[in-house]
Amino acid sequence: MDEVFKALADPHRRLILDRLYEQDGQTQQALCRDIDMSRQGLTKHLAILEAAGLVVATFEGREKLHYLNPVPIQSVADRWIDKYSSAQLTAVSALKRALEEQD
Amino acid sequence: MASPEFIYETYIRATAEDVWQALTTAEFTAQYFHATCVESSWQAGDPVYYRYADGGDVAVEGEVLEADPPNTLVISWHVLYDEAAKEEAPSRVAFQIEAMNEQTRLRIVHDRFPENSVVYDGIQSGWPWIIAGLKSLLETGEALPLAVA
Repeated sequence: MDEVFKALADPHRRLILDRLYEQDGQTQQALCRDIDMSRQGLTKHLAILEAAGLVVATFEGREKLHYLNPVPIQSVADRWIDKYSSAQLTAVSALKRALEEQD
Repeated sequence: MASPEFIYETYIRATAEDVWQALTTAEFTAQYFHATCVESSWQAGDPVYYRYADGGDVAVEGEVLEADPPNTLVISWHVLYDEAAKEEAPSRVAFQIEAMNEQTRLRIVHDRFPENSVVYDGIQSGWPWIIAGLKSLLETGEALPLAVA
């Protein structure tokens, strides 16, 4: 979960996710045209997003395509939203466990 | 080959067999898949139905295109829960399940949408919630509250 927050903490990386939300499955080249960022910078940010599971990449022939994967964001949100719902105790224990496992 | 339209992925602390079972068994889908019970023989060519647990209306119907338990399940996807979507040609959903160390990677690729698909527009909020619920169910034994849907 730390990786998700760390990845989302950077405005450049949020911008990359915004671009993928608008148009999913882009190559790094296509993203580079849209975003004012060096190639190396983009490579670095994409690697961090991939490690956090927020971007999933597949190869289409020789092209590497990047897809927005919002599942980790959903999981993060669910942990705290549950707290106020009928599943109160479940959420609290799930959260506790998740945080403890990060240590 | 056309590129995939949506790819969703999660890592679940469960075996590939457990993930397969959660995807193909009504008792499981009722808990995380918009309260629908899935039914199929899971043989290629046979039909698939996602039926609402209360009332029995079919929300989604499809056909098994490929089934290789516990790793690959590909089905066609014809949405019936929405009037406009009913008229639309089916799209395709592939579940790819792969054991990785102590965890299992579940990847869902939803593609082959027809032109101007209304289903496509509704997908973005649907799958992440379903997948997060599936992960939660397998890891904690509790699905997310249905009220969130």
